[in-house]
Amino acid sequence: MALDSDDIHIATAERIFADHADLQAVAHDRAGNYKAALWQAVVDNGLTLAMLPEASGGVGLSLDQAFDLLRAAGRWGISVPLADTMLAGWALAAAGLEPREGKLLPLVPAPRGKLSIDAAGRVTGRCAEVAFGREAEAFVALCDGPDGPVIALLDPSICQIVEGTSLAFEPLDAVSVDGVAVSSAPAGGAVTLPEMAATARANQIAGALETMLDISVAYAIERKAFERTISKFQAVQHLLALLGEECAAAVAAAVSAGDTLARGDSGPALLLEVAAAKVRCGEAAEQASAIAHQVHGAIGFTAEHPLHRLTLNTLAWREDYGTEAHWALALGKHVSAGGADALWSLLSDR
Amino acid sequence: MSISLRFDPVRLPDYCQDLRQEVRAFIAEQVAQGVFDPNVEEHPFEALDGFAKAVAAKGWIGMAWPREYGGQERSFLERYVVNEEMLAARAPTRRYFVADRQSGPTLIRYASEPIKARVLPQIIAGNATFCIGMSEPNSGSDLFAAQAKATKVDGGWRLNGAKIWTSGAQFADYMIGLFRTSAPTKENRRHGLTSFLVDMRSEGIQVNPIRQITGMYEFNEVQFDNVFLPDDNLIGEIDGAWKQATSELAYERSGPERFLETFGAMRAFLAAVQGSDDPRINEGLGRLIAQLHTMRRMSVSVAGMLEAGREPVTESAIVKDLGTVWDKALPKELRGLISLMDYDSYDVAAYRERMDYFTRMSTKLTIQGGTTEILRGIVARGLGLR
Repeated sequence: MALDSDDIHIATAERIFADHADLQAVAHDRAGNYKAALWQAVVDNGLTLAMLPEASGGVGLSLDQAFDLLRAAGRWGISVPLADTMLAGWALAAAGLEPREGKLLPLVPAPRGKLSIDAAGRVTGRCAEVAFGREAEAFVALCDGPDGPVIALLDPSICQIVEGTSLAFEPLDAVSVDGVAVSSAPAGGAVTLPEMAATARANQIAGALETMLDISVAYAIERKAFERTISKFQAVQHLLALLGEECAAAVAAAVSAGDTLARGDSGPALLLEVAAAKVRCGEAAEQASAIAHQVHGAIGFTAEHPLHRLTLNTLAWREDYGTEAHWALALGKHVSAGGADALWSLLSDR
Repeated sequence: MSISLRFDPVRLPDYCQDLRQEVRAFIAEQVAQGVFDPNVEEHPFEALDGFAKAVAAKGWIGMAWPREYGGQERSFLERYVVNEEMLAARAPTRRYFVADRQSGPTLIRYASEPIKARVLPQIIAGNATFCIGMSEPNSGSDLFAAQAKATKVDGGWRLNGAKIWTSGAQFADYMIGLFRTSAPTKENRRHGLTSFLVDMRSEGIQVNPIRQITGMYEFNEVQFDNVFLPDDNLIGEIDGAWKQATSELAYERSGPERFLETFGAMRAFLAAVQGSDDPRINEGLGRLIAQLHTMRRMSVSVAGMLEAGREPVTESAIVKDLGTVWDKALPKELRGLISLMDYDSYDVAAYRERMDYFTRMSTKLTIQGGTTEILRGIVARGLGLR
């Protein structure tokens, strides 16, 4: 379902993912030994810089191309903090701070945390669930400051990390902060870090659903039961049609939100697009993975088969940077305050 | 990867958004003049004529059609904007809607020149209402089983048989109907159907309205007793109507009418809950808006593909399936949310009356113009499963 197969950057990224994170090979690598080489290749090829403007050391990708790249990462079920490091680097640049190399993780407190910074640059607070938190070489935190939102670069030495595990068996850690930031600045353009992060996860989910659709259709065409391939049963065809529809909706919503951020839209339009993407991709992840498993039967339930990686990653990504309920509530509050004509103006302006 | 479904993030160009403001001003003026009431769910057909004439005077019926037939040659995206504004405002477009959306384009593509020259200007002037004669008493979604017959006679054709579930036939000036001209062949079940333009005032036509679940009469049974049609009324190829019918469907399937039929229910709901700070209501509402926005973006994307001359058959079926399932469920979803509101904070009886209309009518949304099951079959074909 690639919109972007003609894009050389995406093609390069897909080749790296194919070399280092083949779905089947990863499914067999229970210890996660593939991750070190994958991360090295991702860094060496500049993928972590994809959201940076060229002037700040970026690789010349537009923001919507960067989101396309994350969708490609989703297609391979990539579970190293590529999106997260991209986002953290972007936030530093958007706040006018010096770039920082290495594995950066953003701290986006809402809705599961709170971080404050005082006039002396001391950051205090806690984020309950930070994907890959323990791996951070530095954190880039969105904090409440005395005069508005602030982006702060934090050394992990001032953080206390309590390790936890995500649905996808990946690191999901609590991070408590108490100490002085390495550097900080008013957030400026980085005030949309929550929207950027939610859109990033939406694109990762959408990508994973594209692969889920591909492998489920391929499996139905190949698998025989009752003397026919199961693709010939109308019940199975209709299930797969629904999977295709959910996948299409997820891609459309995620791409539209990425396009909105790339255009620099803000206010209610940005809320609508991002909330729709995170909500719709989360919903699609549930429906699509349930169908993919139903079509695959018992084999899809095994650790040997790669389907579980797609399923668990998409379902885990729902949790990051605001759940469906969080974004739906924000959008619903805005809509119920305005009434029907305001709603229609908002929708039709897009 | 392997499966190719496209939903590019098409944005409507500025000239479309300018037109949108013009349409909004026009609708506000019509409401102010009492031509229609956006809070009334169904207007009697007789009351729709004035509105159709006013829309025609703006040049918004057949607006994308060739100039030689009276059209404006405006883009498919501009038509999309006019259409969705009318739907969102619940404007009564029934007098011309079917003709504008699909009958006119079919005539332009397949009809004889004398028919085009005579009928298209009538549509554009808001003077021609069309109905679609496809289903029969013994064949609904299975169009290949159609038995109503057209027999070649000197100078024309004779029609015999019946059509059913024909929306608006009692008010229609014309029908585009599917009639059997030959038996299907063993190799090709689709062979033998031919499309005709039928003047509904012809001798031998009897229209019997059918009362529906809503209490209204929209459906009809239409009987043909030796009805004569001149040769000019043949549309397209004899025995080859099936291909014509399917190419028409990409236009029919993906429009905003596939998820805005119950927008009146959303309007009533938003009026009732305005300013609510109940997080359950707002969260539920937010989800519905997220879904609605996503479908509209997909629908606009398909409109962009049609404008670019592509034939997005699978994508259109996806929009219609997602859209109609959502549209049908909307009254149910809103019911769950409004139940959380204090009964004293809105007019419960008036609200129920409006919502009951939508609950009754919603049952048809996943049937008309291609059922859920037909659509999923088309999507499955697009995925390479059939």
